[in-house]
Amino acid sequence: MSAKQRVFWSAFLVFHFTIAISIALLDMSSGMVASGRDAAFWQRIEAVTNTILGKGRTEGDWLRELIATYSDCTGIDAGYSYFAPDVPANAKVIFEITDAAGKITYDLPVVDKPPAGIRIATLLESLRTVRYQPFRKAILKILSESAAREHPEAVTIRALLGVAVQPGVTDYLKGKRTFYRRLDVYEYHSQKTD
Amino acid sequence: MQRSLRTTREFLFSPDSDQWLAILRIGLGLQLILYAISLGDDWLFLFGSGQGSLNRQLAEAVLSGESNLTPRLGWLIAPGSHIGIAETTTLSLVWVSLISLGVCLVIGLFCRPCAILAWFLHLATVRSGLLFSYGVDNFTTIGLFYLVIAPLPDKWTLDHRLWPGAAAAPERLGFHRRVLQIHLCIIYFFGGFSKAVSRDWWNGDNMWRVLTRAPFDLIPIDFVIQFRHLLPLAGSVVCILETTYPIFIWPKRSRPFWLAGILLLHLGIGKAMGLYLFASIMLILNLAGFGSEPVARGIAILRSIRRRPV
Repeated sequence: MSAKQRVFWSAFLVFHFTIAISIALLDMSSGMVASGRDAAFWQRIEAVTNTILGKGRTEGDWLRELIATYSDCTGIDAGYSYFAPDVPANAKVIFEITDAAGKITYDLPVVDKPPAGIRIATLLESLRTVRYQPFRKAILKILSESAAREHPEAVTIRALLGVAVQPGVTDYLKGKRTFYRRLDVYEYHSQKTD
Repeated sequence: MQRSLRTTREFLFSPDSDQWLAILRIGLGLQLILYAISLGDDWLFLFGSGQGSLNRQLAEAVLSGESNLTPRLGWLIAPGSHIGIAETTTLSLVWVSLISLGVCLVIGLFCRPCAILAWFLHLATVRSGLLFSYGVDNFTTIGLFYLVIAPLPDKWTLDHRLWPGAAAAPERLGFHRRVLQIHLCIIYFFGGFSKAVSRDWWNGDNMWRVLTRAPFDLIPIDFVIQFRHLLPLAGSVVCILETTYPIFIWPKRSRPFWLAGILLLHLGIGKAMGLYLFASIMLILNLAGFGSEPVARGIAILRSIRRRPV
């Protein structure tokens, strides 16, 4: 291997892991800030990593887009703090289906196989954390339309997005069970006419 | 200064064989096949844009907010529709292509172009499924990227048999393996440290939440309750194993234990939580990064058993 090749690959390594470590630190710091752990320190880390990743630049800035594209294409665009520092509450969507006679039934999002079920759970997790209401409504609308295809008799479908708050081990042994806190609701109306 | 530069050079460009590359290539080929087959029945629902699907276009609009240059399925569907190919046909062709490319990677045929195409198609699929992608997608993209830039083909490919050429420089093979190894250390350190700062990982509460949380609650809750006293130990082992991975995976004496521990951890995650794809990609990356020698030894032992006269 020539010296030039070694220099090239070494430079790649430095660039690649600077981006990867910055993204990992950014991910970790947002989790730490959210959980209130040493918020001031982690906010400083957040500010430094945002600068390295070009996130302080305006949207559409060429450097910011280049770094975002590079990190997307190499898979380093996400951190590694899964279920850390704490396991988040579980998001769920329940469909309340009303037919023409006024009868109400309930259903959950349905997919054919468990691997797709994990993907739907991931989608619901992103709904739980997203703050932009129109986006949340758009996803709930899509899920409701999908449910409407499964329930052609439905006149109205209400997609109830909630969070399942699980008890800890000790509380579970005392008899406490999972309860649901509603976050949002979307109402879908069938276009069928009598 | 000179000495530290020499040490760094020897560390980064240490000569290596291409066994690890064969494990990475074959493993990623199988991973692609499993990924496509596991989502096959829900493929059009997940990646379509018509009514009754999860509306890929919404995900691609979100993606465009970050970058217009990241590959996405829309890049294939739009030109296809211009020449009269329906979206469902293009999506089905992508699905078939992922499986075919996986097979080509496993057998080692047209390694470089297949690695590039596999990386591109998998990336486009994952990015168009941005709203519901999770860790397995990132790690598979990482693996495929490292495969694309690695010195393919290795000695165990059909390419090498059909078109034998000069072997890749051992220093280059060593460097690319080192990149994978360093990345694994980064992954586990950040994953472990993030857990270790939370008391609930050490006292077992987070292990309880993980095992009883839909859709990962495969183990009946009564069974988890029965063994609740082991939850703090399990949580502590996870924290220690991950956080100290970058320290203990390198020395020859501790590597077998840390590697075995991490492999068992991922097998356990796959079995207990149903995250089979996630478990398999982590096994592949770890075996390629740090486990190629034991794998090669295992294969050599199996071969010698088969050759022994009855």
